[in-house]
Amino acid sequence: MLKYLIRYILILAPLLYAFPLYAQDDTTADDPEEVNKPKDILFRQLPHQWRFSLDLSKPLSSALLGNRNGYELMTDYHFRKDLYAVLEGGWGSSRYEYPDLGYRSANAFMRIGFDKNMMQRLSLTDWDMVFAGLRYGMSVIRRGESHYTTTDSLWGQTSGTIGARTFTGHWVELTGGMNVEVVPRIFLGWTIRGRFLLNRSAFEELPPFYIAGYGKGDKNTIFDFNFYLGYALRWNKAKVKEAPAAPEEKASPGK
Amino acid sequence: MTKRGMIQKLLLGMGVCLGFAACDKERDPCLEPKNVSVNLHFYRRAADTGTVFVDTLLPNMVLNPLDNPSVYTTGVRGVSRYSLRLSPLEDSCRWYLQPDSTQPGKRDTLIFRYERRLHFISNACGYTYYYKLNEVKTTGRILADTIHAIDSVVIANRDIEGDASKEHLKIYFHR
Repeated sequence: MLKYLIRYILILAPLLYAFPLYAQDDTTADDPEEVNKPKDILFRQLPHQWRFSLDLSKPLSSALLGNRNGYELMTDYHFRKDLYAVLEGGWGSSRYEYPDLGYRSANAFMRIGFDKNMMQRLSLTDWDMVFAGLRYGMSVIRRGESHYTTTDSLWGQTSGTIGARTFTGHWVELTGGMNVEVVPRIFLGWTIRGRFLLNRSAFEELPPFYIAGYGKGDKNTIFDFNFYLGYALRWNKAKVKEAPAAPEEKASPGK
Repeated sequence: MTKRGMIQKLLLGMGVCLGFAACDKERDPCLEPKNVSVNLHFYRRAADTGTVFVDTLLPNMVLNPLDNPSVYTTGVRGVSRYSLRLSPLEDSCRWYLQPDSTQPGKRDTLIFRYERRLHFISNACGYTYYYKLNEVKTTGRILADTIHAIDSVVIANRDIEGDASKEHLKIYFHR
């Protein structure tokens, strides 16, 4: 598992760290006042933001692949500096029908964690983000009765049924991605995820081939992604007594 | 980064993800063997007397199931190791082994008694059977009036679970 963890970190790290470095080229980072400015003043200036997002990728892949469907929702709340608390949830089902193995399954899941924005905020209205994050995920999965057939070219076939079973899956995720406010309050974004199953032993006996929110049930590490369409609620813009003199006008020439 | 730059990166990332998604399949291919085999290893005594045994090459081996019309081998030259499959339909099966196809009189029967255990391989491959060998008998000592090739058999490993490197059954031939 450590091998896979290192692999995902190596893939994610250059992608995510490249964005803020690039972004800083556009800012007034050379301005000593900007550099020395306490970031929490900027944070206090910001309104609260609570965003709700709908995943578009899973309905799309369900339509293309046909034997599964999944729906995912995500909400995040900007609670501190560059940190966003994230809660995700969803449900899905699958139908596995082949001559040698067949069953149906359904599950619901939730994930909880945080994202850290890696990009310097350019203005009070700049909510674009390039982020890295961490999640804990769990799912309750119900696999229906399964029918199987074994084939031996010499001896012939055997067949039988395996009883229905309920699984509980736990996993952790490393996430990375970006969100862009394409029009005010409306976001588009993508998230890539490296998942690591924590209770592998529970999935040794006929795990469902697709678990919504996780991926392939017989894999211990999963790469996955989401495309999100989001809407942000903002309120209570706080008054700041010691606000610096309009740093954002200087800071965002390109926005 | 400008808004335009961000949107470019957004679309680029989506494109990369779609590329990965295009590789997804309804069912993964099965890359593992679906049936497990009993690995046989053939020996003979190194000298007329003594307890040293060496590999022996069967000149033209015929190995087939006895209660099944299917043909497994018709004559395999110069082998000291071979494998056979147990019947997943019952808890026993019989095979006949003839070291040299030109000597039909030297023919032995191997009788296998075992326990079957259903084993899940993967969603891609489905199920198979694993076995636990309880007993292997040969007809060599039973019918004394026939010329037999096999001297004795010894179970080296009872668990038949698809490990191709494991030797399951040692078959000792007369010199």
